[in-house]
Amino acid sequence: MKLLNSLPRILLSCLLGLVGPTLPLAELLAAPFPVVSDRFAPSTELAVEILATELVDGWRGGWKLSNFSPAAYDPAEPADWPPVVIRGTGQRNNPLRRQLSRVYSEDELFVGFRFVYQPNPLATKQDPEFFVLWLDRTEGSDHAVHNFGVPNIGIHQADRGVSKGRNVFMLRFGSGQTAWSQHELEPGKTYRLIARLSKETPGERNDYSQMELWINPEPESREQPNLKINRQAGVHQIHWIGFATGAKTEAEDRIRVGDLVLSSSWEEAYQFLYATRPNANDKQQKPKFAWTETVSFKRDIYPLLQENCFECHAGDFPDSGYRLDVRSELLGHSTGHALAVPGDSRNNPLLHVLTSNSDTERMPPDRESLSEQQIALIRAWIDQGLDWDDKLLPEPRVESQHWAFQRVERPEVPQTDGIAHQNPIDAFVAARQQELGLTSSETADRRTQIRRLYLSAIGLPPTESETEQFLKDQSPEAYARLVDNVLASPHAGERTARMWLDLVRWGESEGHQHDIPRPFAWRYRDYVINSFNSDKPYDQFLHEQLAGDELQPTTDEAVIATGFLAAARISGNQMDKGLQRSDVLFDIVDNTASALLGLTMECAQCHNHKFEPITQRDYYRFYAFFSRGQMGNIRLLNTENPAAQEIQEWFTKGSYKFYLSEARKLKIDPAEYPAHTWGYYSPVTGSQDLEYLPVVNRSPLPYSPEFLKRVETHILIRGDVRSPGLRVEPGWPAVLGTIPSELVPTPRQALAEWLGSRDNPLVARIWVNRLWQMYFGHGIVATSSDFGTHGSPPSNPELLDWLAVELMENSWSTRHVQRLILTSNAYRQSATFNAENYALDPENIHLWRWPQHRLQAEAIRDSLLVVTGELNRKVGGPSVAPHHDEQELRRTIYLSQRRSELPDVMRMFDGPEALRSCSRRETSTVALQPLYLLNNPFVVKRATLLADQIGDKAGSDHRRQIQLAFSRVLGRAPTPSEVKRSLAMLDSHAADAESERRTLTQFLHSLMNLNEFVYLP
Amino acid sequence: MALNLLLQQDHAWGSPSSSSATLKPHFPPTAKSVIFLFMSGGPGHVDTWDPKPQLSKMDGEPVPDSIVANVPNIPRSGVNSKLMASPFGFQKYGQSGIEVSELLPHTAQHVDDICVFRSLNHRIPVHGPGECLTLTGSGLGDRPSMGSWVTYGLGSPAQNLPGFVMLSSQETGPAAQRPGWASGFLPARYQGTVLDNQQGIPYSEMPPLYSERDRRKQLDFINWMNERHLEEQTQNSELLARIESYELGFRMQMEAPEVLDLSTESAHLQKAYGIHEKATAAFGRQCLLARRLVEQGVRFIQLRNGGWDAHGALKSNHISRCKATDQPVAALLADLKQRGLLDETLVVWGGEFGRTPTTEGSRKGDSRGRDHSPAGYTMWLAGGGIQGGQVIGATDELGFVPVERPLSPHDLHATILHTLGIDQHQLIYLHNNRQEIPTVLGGEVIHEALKSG
Repeated sequence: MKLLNSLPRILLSCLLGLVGPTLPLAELLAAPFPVVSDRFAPSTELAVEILATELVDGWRGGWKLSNFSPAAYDPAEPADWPPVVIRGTGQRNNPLRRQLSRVYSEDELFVGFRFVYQPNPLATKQDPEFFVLWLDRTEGSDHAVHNFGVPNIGIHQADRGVSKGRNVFMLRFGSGQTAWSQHELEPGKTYRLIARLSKETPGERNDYSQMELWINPEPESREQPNLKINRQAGVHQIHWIGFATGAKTEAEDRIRVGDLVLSSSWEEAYQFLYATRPNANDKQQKPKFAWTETVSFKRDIYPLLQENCFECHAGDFPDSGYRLDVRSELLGHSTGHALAVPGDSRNNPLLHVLTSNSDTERMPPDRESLSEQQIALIRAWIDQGLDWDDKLLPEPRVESQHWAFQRVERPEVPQTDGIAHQNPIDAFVAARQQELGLTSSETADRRTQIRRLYLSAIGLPPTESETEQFLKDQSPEAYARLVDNVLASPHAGERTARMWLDLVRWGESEGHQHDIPRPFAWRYRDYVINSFNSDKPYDQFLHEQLAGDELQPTTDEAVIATGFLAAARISGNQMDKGLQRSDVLFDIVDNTASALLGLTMECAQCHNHKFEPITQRDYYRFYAFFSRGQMGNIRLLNTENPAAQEIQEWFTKGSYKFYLSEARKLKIDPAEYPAHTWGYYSPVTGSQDLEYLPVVNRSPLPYSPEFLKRVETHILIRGDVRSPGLRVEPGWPAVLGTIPSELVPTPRQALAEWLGSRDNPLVARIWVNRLWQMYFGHGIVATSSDFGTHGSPPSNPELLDWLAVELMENSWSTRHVQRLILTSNAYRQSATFNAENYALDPENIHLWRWPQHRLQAEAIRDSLLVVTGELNRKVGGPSVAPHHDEQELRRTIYLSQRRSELPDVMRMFDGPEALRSCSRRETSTVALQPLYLLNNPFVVKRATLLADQIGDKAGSDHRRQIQLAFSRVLGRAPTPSEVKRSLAMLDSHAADAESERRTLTQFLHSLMNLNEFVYLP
Repeated sequence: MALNLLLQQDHAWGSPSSSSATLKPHFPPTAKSVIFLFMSGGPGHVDTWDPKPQLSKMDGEPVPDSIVANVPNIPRSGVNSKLMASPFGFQKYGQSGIEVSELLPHTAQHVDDICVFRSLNHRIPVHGPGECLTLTGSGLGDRPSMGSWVTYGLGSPAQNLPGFVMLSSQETGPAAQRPGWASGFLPARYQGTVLDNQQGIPYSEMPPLYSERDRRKQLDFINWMNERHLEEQTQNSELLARIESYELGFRMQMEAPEVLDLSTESAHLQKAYGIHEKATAAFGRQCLLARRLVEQGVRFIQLRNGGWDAHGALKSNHISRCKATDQPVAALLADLKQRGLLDETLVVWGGEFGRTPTTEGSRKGDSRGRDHSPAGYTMWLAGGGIQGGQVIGATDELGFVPVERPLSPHDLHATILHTLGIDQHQLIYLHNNRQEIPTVLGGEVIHEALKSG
């Protein structure tokens, strides 16, 4: 076949007399002739000028030499060394390059050449080198770097991997995409290289994306390249070939090259490079050994694996992610990638890596290959059914000693000497402090207490009358009553909801480039607020969010709750619908695991987790919970639809116009839609009463119930959606608990059940820790979304567990835990500094004083509106577009949350970007923040209004103004020295009413800028 | 590695403790500042900087198979449409005789200072990711912008201004991509500050209620109160940092309006920038401002000009885009040169891609436009150690793909960093236990573009 194909070329070559002079005729007839070749024989001496238009041997024109440092024809002893010498230059040089007579864009090309490297003999230490053959569309120049997507074959000093620092053979498509071999360059040795360049997607205009390299190939290594690189974006045509040296190759270095061939087959290239050898095809290719006796795992295989493999491929966290000491792992259980199929030794990854010539593939790495006998043994073992000894290597039980994966038990409340703690939290805190020699602070004064409580529990400062009322109530229960009232306020739900929305990376748009609005995403925001306000049990809260579309009877509330799963972003540019779908599912898995389980699952998307007991199988089992549904507009059954004109008021004019124009392109009219929400729905397991309405996006994900019914989840090998491995069924990470054989009534409901079960080790701990962090600024576990083995250990494990049990045993009441925390002395204590405590615990991890921290963005803006009395305290409803802000004066949580147009105050003061789950907000301090508070018209207007109010009340009495101002803005009376300093500030040296008012405004504006104003007291 | 350690410390703008510190480059720089003129939407290279006489001859014909084969298989590469001659003529300018479109008569006067790269290419035919690629090196928008890397690496000599500023004009067409001026995984203080066209530094315009004296008095009061508050809260560095940020904010506010106030420039110069004319006023103002920012030591200035996405009616679109930008760009180059600043200021011009040599769809006459062409397009550099008056690279006779010296946006990034004295491989930031560098996805310095070679 091969011969037939190449026959015309042979004839043509013969006719033109282009056969290289060293090739005898007999061999020519026996072997197919290469497409293009050059033996650098004297007749094609480099000095001979060949016109650029002349066609020679498949070339167009002659060799072009670098003016900078040309290659030279210089045959030398020993006589079989290649005749052309390239000298290093200490910089990029293309000494020798030549154009092909035509452009090659075939799906596969082979290139071969011969060379000897003679490095500087005087170099004393490891001398880095760079020398390649490149194949490019264009010639470049003497110094051009054939880099971006250009196939390079040659030598370079490895910058990573086991060969790091050594000069090894490598393949690359540009410097960022290199495959390093472990074949070290040996000076003075003649090398013959063959490289195969191919297009994984065939087609004239598609990229060359893959290269394989054979170093000194033998016929039997045809299927066994020494090195491979694939899935690259390379050039799609080859028109020029050239050699290049780099900065690392110095003037003293010499490289001799010869026998260059470009061909359509490996054999042609091989024949050309080894023209003087007997016909390679005669060589025996069958394995020498075959094992016919019965293999015993214990006797024959185990010692072999132990000696050669177990160092890296055994134990809980093998470096490689693959383990060979567990039979199910050989079968691909956790990675989806079967290493051996019993009874079938052909196409078998285990044997493949043991016998591969490719340095990037062969096992064991960096040492001798297994003997042929050993390989025969393994082949027989596989063919005979993969015998195993369960006593020797039992299937390990999935378990972990990590504290956070153990069931939560109720700890004893500690008894601390002589102190009676009303609130068990304080007993736990005091016990820890006593161990460390710390003492806690006195309870803060009552004004501080109410201000702190309001700001941290509802995100708003108390009004003057609320403060006065509390101060008047001298009963011992006054504070507890205040906590109850505050937690019963609808604003407490808003505050806790904002924390939840951070975790959910909630936003009102699709994200990515177009960021098209999702008009009804606000319903989910209200669901969260209402849930906290009604103290919905946390387990039920999770249940609705994970399976709201499945619950019977179908309620709008539960359907809206699926906005949790639907808060993922989606690109409108992704034309590969498989990728578009999996990107959203990855986002859902990662976010759900992070927010609810405190696990960094995303690492297991491509391989078994490197340090958590989470396998790739765990990842895709979790993924399987969500893969049969899709986010979109879900019809509501008992909800009124707002008028279409109203919707345009929820977004900036530009973004809504964009939304409408994209809808028109899709030929849909959302104004005609019945009432709906932005949620998640599975037509397979969800209620059949529900309906999925088309989504507006540049290129939306298609919705097809038939498709979703057929969906099966497979482990994606290396996370690649195009490489499905073993099929999996829904399940949670095995280390966290047994997965029942049947998940009833549906998998997602079973997941929710399991999350809310008393035995779940993580869910309650994580939630109480988040509540703790919400009030104190830091959690008991500082890494509040990472409870894995690399997360921070709890500063007070007993306290954490006690709170978790309190949550679970009190019907998962969030408010119960909030009340416990807010009534503790740890929360109520003052921020007073204490040098002794500071010396022992400078970070205040053990809460020897109140940990001051800045208000969040929302509380800063909302506080301003409370101070002026303007805040519109309406709860819920559609979001407010920026241009309606000043009319509506709603809480910041209700400002429109299109991801690319988040409210200024949130951008300025570390609000989350709604891209990834935000478990804790940072506090950055930059100079634009003071400018915002000093110059933003919104803030200035608040100061002006307040000046009017106070001016009207106090007239021109500066002292009275100061009293009123401190009370209103800071919730306290001024000290005498503050009065004095404030009087100086108010002294305007001008008696007219206008300048008086202006100075008063400036004074009030100043108070709004104080650290005291933007920090929790 | 010593540099690496140094870079971990606070030093750039936004960090109140040492706002003005700058770091040493790796080798002597030829540029101190960069002005990146980003033409969003994609200017047609065959209509501006890459003349194609052959294209004029073949107007209305299909693309020859021989050329089609050379075009990589990128969506919307335009090879199945009819060729469209550029509606604009070209002529030679300067000593170098480089041909420039009649659309750019002013910029063309400076062609001897400009190094034209006619062989840019990449594989992303979509605006958002293309913009991210051009400004960050990755189409995913997950890496820091070049401006952030530069301010991270070198700090900024500008005492009272941000080290990296972004200004936007003609905001029609594809939305600005935040990653283009965001700091990615670098600390937030290295992100670009978006200057408002009216306000300049955001929120730096003092309300009418204040005189400068009032503001000083107010800040003294705030400081006094904050100091008292701090006394009660010993050992709170956050509070201290906040106190200091007020002083820095104040300096910025005082300085910024002065820098942004263009009225102190001569009428002659304002006219040169086109500030008096409606078409050129917006971009002219920004170009003039860019020069003033350079004078203040601002390290990286990005001017984003939108509206170049001429899928239809390319002729009128490019006439109006070029009218709006040509004179201001030329005035910027002249002004920088006249003040001796061009030698230390690198000016970069270009979009996220070019436009196809074919027309898009079946439109006729002047309603014809062109699709996106990442497979071949033009950008240019001037000043900052760049050897002007030369063309590097070439596309084929119709302008589809590079046939000489193909270049990637990464090569441009490496070159920008090089002129600033930064070795792209040594500018390291440790992120998630990985040593990140700005050109992790490749890129080589385009040495022949440099005066020093």
